[in-house]
Amino acid sequence: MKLPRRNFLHLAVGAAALPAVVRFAWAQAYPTRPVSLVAGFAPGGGVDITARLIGQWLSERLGQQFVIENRPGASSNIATEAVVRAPADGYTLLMVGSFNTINATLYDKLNYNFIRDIAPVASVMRYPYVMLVNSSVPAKSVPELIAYAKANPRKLNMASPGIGSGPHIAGELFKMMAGVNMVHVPYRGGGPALTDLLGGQVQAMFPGTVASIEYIRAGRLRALAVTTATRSDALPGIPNSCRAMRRASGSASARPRTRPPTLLTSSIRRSMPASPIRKSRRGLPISVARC
Amino acid sequence: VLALSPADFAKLIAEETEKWGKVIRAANIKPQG
Repeated sequence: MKLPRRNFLHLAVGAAALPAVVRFAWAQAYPTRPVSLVAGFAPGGGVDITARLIGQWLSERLGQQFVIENRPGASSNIATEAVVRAPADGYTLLMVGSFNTINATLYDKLNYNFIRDIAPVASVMRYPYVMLVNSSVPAKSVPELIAYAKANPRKLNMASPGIGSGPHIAGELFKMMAGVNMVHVPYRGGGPALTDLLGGQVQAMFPGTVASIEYIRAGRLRALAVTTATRSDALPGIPNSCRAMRRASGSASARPRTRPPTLLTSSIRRSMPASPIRKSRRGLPISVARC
Repeated sequence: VLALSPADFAKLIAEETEKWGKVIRAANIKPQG
């Protein structure tokens, strides 16, 4: 099925602002022991890297360890359910992103109610996706990739961090709009997917720039376009010509909705200008969320 | 940085779920590929 271009653009704009979420419970003195920060994908991907950045910063800020726990599988459903089932004592947090809302449609039955069981703390950041190909692919631009894919149906393997992940949906959008047939190969996270893209086992991917920028800068992977409305500050030489896929991914933190504002929430809001995430803005392809 | 209120968070999730739902249905994406 091929959607009208206008409809795609409308959907894409709406998808650009979703933050990721951290769930925790209120405690008067918080934290008094290490905190688990759960990432629903394997190490090395954008969610994992975001969790490690914010976890390190929170550890320094709040004087307790924030331990990153990777629980990959089912596009973060396993991690989300684990956090929902954990004691609501503020010591088990969850990184949340667009995949959580995708899952609401993708899966007929989930063992939790996301809105009821998860609540926000604060947005953390947003970053674009980028269309990448392995160096073995002769295409140097988006039109060239489309032409190559049309001439070689089902010869290109398209990696993603998992079924229902943002890069997966971005790739499916591209396939529909361009009228090309690439084979989707899901992994358990962006890290393993990028490893195979580097090795040539798969040929294309639409990852977030957080996890992929060093490979792009080193010339190990070829970036054809970023999917946002404007060029990325971190990748100024990469066009944003893929307007139909204009999307962005984000990260944030959250709190239970019946609880008062917490130390974690206020700490994030007050201190973000000095956080390593903002400091690394030029180094990593991310921006502090303003949604 | 934004600390969403419960109401705003629910609204955001509902909106995003609806939009992504349209894409997933259009692309006929299934959980097992």
